[in-house]
Amino acid sequence: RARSPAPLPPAVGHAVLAINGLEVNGRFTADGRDVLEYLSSAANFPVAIRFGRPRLSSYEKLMLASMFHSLFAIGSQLSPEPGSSGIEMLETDTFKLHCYQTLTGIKFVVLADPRQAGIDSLLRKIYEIYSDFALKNPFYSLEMPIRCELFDQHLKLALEVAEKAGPFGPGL
Amino acid sequence: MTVHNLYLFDRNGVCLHYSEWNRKKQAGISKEEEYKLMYGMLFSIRSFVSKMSPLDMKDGFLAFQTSKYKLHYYETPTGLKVVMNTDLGVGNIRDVLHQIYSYIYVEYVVKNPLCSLNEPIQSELFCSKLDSFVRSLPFFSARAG
Repeated sequence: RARSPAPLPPAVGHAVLAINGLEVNGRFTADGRDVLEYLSSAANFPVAIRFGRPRLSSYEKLMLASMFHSLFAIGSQLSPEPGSSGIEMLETDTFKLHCYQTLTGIKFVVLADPRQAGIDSLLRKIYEIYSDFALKNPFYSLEMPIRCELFDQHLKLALEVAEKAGPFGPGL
Repeated sequence: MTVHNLYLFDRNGVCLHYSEWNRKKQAGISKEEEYKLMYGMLFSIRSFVSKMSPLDMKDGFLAFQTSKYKLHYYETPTGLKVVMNTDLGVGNIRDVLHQIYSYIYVEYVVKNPLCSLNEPIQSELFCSKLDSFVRSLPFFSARAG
């Protein structure tokens, strides 16, 4: 089942994410053209513009990851029960954040639709993919960003399988 | 199923009320420090969640759970925050937290001229009403005490 996002009207704080299906990053389209120039030329019309919340920069991603790291630790410190782990699942009205910490302290975090099922098995699958295609890769140095093609391919596949399961689905 | 404890914060981060029912582990710091840590964590979670969200949010942060407990969060438009820790078997209790605000806080604190807002609640009536309300909740087990 293909799920296409419903087109959103522009709102305060939103940015242009795509024009005519072409991804936009900041001021420039994926093929390096200026967005405003592209829109001012009549030859490009009609245009379909997709609006949405601006994407996070890699700097912001790093900042949020370190923030979650401390929230995870405080969550276990404030526990009213002994022997609690950190935050495993965080729920908001628009998404659910699932976190899986391995015995060696690596955290895998997945943001999903609140109704999406099978995230726990997806997290374990991602750990498996990480072990098989990043850790066992002799060219991968530990605790550095993962740039392995096989890892990316298998990760994408696992996400597609989990996505197909959909809400209330059986999972992987 | 059981309720562990409940925190009530005002919009400036002052802990107005704290009570506990079945708490087996203390945080190992003074209560004042614990309130500050809890408020700080919620403050950061709120900003974290609003940055992470793929869509614009309405209610925002609702709850989180660890392997041992679940924290439920409810915030009124005036910035009053109700935080309840329960065990993992409890589902969405947003309406219960809203009832604590509207039936107990508003009735016995806001409408009480002797209770000053924005400082810890001294009213015994409020404390006993809150205690009996929480004890009567369907997920407050009888063995907990």
